[in-house]
Amino acid sequence: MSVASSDAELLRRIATGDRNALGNLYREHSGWLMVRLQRRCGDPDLADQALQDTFVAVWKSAASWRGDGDVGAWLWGIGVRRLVDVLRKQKPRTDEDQNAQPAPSAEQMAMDRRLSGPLASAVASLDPDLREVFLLANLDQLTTREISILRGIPQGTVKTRLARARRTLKAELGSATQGDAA
Amino acid sequence: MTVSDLQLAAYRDGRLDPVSDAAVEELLMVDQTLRKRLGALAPPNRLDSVWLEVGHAIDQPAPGWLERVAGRLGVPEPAARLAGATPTLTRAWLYGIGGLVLLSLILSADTTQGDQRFLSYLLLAPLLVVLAVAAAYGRSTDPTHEITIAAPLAGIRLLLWRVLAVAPTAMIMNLAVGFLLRAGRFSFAWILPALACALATLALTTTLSVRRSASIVAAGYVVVVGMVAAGSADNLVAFRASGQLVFAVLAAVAGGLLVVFRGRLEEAVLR
Repeated sequence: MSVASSDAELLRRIATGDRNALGNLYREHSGWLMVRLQRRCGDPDLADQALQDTFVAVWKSAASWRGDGDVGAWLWGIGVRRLVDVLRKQKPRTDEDQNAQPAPSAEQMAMDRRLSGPLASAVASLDPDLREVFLLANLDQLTTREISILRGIPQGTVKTRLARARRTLKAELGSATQGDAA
Repeated sequence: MTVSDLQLAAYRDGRLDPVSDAAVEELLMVDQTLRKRLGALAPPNRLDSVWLEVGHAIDQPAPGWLERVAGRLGVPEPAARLAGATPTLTRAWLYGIGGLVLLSLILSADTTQGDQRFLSYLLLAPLLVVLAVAAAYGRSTDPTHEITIAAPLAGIRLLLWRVLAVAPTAMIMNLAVGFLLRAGRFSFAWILPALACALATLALTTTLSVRRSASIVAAGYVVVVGMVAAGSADNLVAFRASGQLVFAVLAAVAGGLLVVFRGRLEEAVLR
């Protein structure tokens, strides 16, 4: 049995209220999720809180997993949004609405978020501020609002940075392909 | 790209060069082995304490409407929780009282003369005990089910404690009805049958749901005792010495099965 299908099996059992299955899923995935969440926010306490909220959410909503794709990617989708929520609650600045975002499907993640080849090196060469915003928007599929909460910068700044990142990448890739053609 | 352990540790600490960092980020979306290797770099004590917190968060049962209202009115949380849980505890008593009323009604309608009039009492008394056992646990009657699962005293021991807490209610009711009917020694003739039925219900619960087990045992008991009574000149034959011996053997067998399959009962309780 592959890891992926055993993860799916675990989720199916969690949906029926199997606590051991949740424990197994936690053992399997909590480590990398914790490290990665901490990379996103830089604060161990917030990362731990987000990780906790993630697995509580999994316990409550395992049944909503559509049964296809990569469970790890699904977990990350939940985790990074829990992190945004944790940050939102922590900040005194109150945001009026809190719309629930359904976790994006796993295959979407696999298809949309791959950075490879020339794109990867172009992204790596971006200014750190731009790169960070670009990765949050594309790799983690966060909205402008979520990025603004996660990074503590105004939404307008997120939008300009995103636009600048895209312009720079386009230019870089354009010249790269032209260079290849020449 | 292959990621070295050194690079992975650098990624964790945010010290990796941008190109490799972006590559690791991308690989983490798809690469299960890399996730495992990165996971091994997470601090185990933090993972343990988060897991404990997850357990605590899950164990909070969804508050009932009474608890929510009480909470909104400013009642402290433990008191509100108790208020929310008490109806469940009193439900077992309500079953008992309801059973008593029902028994009295049925029995007062029975106009048979002599000892034979105790048949319906002896038929119904063990059923009350079975009902009490069925009400003692199970998701359907119990909003504290999640607590039950997570309690340090989980599983069979907790179940048996709860049965012990509820069954005496039914037994006292039965004895009371017996004395009210002036049933004499027949006031005690239901005890072994009740024990056999209760143990059989628990033994069946290792494979079936509580409800189904209780229904099967109850129906089986009524049908068999009823047929024995109908087939004999003495309709209480099932409750005399030989009958009691049979019930004692059945109780012993059911008890033995319960001990052998207690592990499965534990799983059943958690269902």
